[in-house]
Order: sequence, then C-alpha cells, then structure tokens
Amino acid sequence: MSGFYAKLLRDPLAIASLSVIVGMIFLGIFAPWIAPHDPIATNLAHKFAPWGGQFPLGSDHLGRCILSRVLFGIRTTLFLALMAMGITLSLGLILGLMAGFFRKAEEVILRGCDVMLSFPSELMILAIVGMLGAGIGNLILANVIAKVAWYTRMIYSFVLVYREQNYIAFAKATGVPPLRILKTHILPSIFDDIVMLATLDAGWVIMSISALSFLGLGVQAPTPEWGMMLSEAKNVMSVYPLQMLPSGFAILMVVLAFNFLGDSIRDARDAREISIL
Amino acid sequence: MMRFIAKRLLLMLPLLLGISVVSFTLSTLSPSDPAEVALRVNDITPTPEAIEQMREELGLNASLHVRYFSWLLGIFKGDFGVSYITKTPVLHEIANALPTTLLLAGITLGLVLVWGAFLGVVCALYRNRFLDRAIRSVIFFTGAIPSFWLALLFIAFFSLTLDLFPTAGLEESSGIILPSLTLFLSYVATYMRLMRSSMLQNEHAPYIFYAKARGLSEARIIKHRIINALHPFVIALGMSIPKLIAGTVIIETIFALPGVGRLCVSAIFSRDYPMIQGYVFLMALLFLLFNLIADVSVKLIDPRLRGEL
Repeated sequence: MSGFYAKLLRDPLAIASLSVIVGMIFLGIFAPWIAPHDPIATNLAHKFAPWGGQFPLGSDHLGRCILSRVLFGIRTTLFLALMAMGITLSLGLILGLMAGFFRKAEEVILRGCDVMLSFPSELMILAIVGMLGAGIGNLILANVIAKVAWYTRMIYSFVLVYREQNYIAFAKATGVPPLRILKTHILPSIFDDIVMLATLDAGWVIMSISALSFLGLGVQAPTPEWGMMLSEAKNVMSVYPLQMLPSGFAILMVVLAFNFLGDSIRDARDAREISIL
Repeated sequence: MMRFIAKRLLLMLPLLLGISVVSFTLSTLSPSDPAEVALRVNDITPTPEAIEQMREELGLNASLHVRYFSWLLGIFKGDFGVSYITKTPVLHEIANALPTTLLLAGITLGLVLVWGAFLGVVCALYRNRFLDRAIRSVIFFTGAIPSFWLALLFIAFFSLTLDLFPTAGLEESSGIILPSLTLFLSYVATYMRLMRSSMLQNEHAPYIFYAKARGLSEARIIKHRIINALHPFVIALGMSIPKLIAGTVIIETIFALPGVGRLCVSAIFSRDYPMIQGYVFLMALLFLLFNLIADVSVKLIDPRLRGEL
C-alpha cells in the first residue's frame, strides 16, 4: 500500500490535482473570511460592475459580487457533491460487502442492481427530481439512487478478488466473526480501489449537480451555485458575456482536477479497467 | 439468432415491469396532489369540490394497485394518458418531439463514431508520441468542460460575435450544428479512449503475430486490428444511444430545440405527471431496445460469439 502512495506522490499531475482540490475545499471552508462581499446581498446600484476594482470579477444583475458567489459556490457545488458521494459510497459499500461476503444476500442484491442499472443514471436523476420536485434534498437523493447500484456492483467486484484468498478462509475456519473479517481483512484491501472509484466518479457528480441547478431543478436562488450562476449569466450573455466565465471555469477546474487525480490513481494502481457508465 | 433475440426479449419483460413500477410509484410519491396540479395549470381555483371532482375524473380515488394496472393496461394499448397542460395524448406529444431529438442524437452519434474511431486509431498507432499526447490532452480537456458551459461559450462566440449560426431554435437548418458539436465534444472523450485501449489490447494478439509471420503488409495488419477493435467500440456506442438521448435534455433547453428533452423539462416545471411518466418509461424502453440491438449487431459482426446463444 505504501508503494502505491509513494508512486502517486512522485506524479506531478496527481500532486497538482490534489492541491487544486484541497485548495478549493480550503477556500470553501474559509469563504466567509476570504470573500470580499456578502454573496447574497443585492445592491442594484452596483449591478453589472466591470471586472477589477471593488468587484474583482464584476457583479451580476442584482449587484452581487461574482467572486464572492464563486467562493461560496464551492460550499454548495463541491460540498453537496462530496456529501452525495459520501452517502452513495457508504450505501454501496454496505450492499457491496454484503453481496460479496454473504452468499444469501448475493443474488438479491445483484438482481436489484441489474434492474436499477437498466435505467441510464441521467434518466433516473431526471425522473426522481421531476416527480419529487426541485430542491437540495431531492437533488442529493436522486444522485444517490442513480449511482448506488453502480457503486455496489464495483465494490462487489473488488470483494470477489479477495474472498477466496487463503487468509480469509483461514480466518473463517478459526471462527473469526464475519464482521471482523470484513473490517480487518477485506476493507483495508479494497480501500485503495474505493478511493480510485470515488475520485473517478467525483467529476460526474459535480457536473450532474450543477447541470440540474442550471436547469433550475436543483439548488434554488439565492443560494450561490455554479450551475445556477451560469444560467443567470446566460440571460445577459449578449451584453455581459464575461459573466459566464468565472463559474464555468470553476466547474472545469474542479472536474479536471478530479479526473486527472482519478487517472493518476488508476495508473498508480495499474488496475483493471474501470468504466464509468 | 432468432432464438437469441427471443430469449433476450423475454428477459426484457421482468425489467420492463420493474421500470413501469418505478415510473408509476415515483409519481405517487410526489409531494403535490395531481388533481390540484391539474386544476391549477388550467387556472381553476382548487376548491375542495373541484379537487374531488378532478380526482374522480383522473381516477385518483381508486386504490394504488388498481390505478397501476389501469395505467399498465393503457401502455399496452399505446395510451400513456393525457397531458395536464395541453390536453393532448402524451404519446402524441412525445412522437412530435422525437424527430428533433433523434436528429440531434443521430448527428452527434455519427460524429462520435467517425471521429472517436479515427482519433482512437491515430492515438494507438502513435502511442505515447507527441501526436497521441496532444490529442489525448485536448480530448481530456473537452471531456471535463460542462456541456452547458461549452454551449454558452459557443453561442457567445459563433452566434453573437461571429453571427454564423442562429442562437436558438431550428427555423434554420444550421441551428442543429452548434448543439450537435457541443454534445459531440462532451461525448467523444470516452469513446476515443475506448478505441485507443482496445487497439492497444490486440496489438500482441496471436492473430497479429500469425499475420506478421505470414508476412502481411503493415497496412493490412492495421486494418485487421481496426476491425477487431471496432467490436467493443460499437457495443459501447450502441448502448450509449439512450444515454445520449437523455443527455440532450440540457442542450435542447439551452438551444431551445423542440425535442423530447425540453418537453420533459417543461413538464417537470409544470408538474405534468403523465408526461414525465411517459417520458421516463419510453426512454427506459429505448435503453433496453438499444442494448438488445447492440448485442445482436455484435454477434452479427463477430461469428465467434454466435455459439454462446
């Protein structure tokens, strides 16, 4: 395991991506102290301010500072994405471990996954948000349901590699309780695989959250969110085309960083091909 | 082959049933009362009497399983209910919007097929050399750009600044160019990489070794490799068609194209439940059908797989 992390630390691209992600999270946490203005306070006297000066990246149609909104948007977009992923991963981990380790649960869980995977995840998200209505809670729920089957499947396949190993058989034979085997033997073995899986998926989740908010089906105004900021910028794009640059660029940076990091981890693991469906 | 198709069609039935249950129950979980919605969108004040009457009219008073079975029975007859907003049959509305979406998806798919395969082959042949690295960097970049941002940038540059294409709508046929270009750029990355890796995988396959031993020319060997690498490429692409159709939602909304994606988004905003249900069910059906078509066509291309019926 140490070899894997050492290899990763020698990869300049991985270091750069990781710095971008950590930096973004840092900026998000300390946004109230870093941001020059209140991201929600409207002031029509300052609307459509140019770049530079009092508003480094200009202001929008309600006179809100765009830089502050991008910084606070990290909290919404990135943190919501990480939260949705955290929930999906935990559920997928539980189901995947159960399917991989308890033969009785295997069939039921895997067939359930088949049904869920027969829906393209984009469609599943649209269906859930469409029926239950827009909003942060439903947005997260939709992303979790759309991806949980995929996580379960992947984690199940990771477990399969280890479940027939001799040391697992030995642990079983000597009467170590199943939960303890999972915790001390299987979980540490598949940990790196799970990190890789989550990193490769992160960009997708971020895009899906901002895409839905862009359509008006996710985060609602006035909460700053990158996708929603883009849809506000869209309305004034013929007059103030610069307004759509900051939030779009923010999404691009984060997604690129996660994709590069995911690829680097995959190369460092030299792992089997993971397909993001 | 017929037996294989029949078997797959039979296997689709339980999945279809599952899909119908999902798309039906989702609507019953919705927080607002469909009867009230149906009244509101027609500007009728939802008094308790009016709601009761509407519930009766929409058949909402029957128990859940009765409503499900009557909905399911309707689907078999091609009846997906009537839109709350336009009062026209859902199937009719979707059928009207489908050509636009299929055109957009079709052009995108064609572009991805040609350019994805071409770039994948070029990258594999120039593996780790400058050309390979350059193409892959550009593609990696386009794959990470949010499609809705790319669409806005395209509109700002090509439509507003250069005035080459219309900003929205399909009144002019050139209106389809920017939407398909945007979709193409966000999809091509995955398929180009797939083509490249499947080209690289069969680089040391026994049949290549044999072909070299026979003294075949380099060009003919590459031709064989390309043909063999195309199989996984075609399967993945075939399976991605419904994903592509579902992915047109944002692009259609931005470019104001009258396709099913935009239909679905506006149905979501007006809480037009029969329309959303119909869209979800039909898209899932398409997904299953294209999976089947992809599987069948792979077997048609590759005789080695025909034995495993």
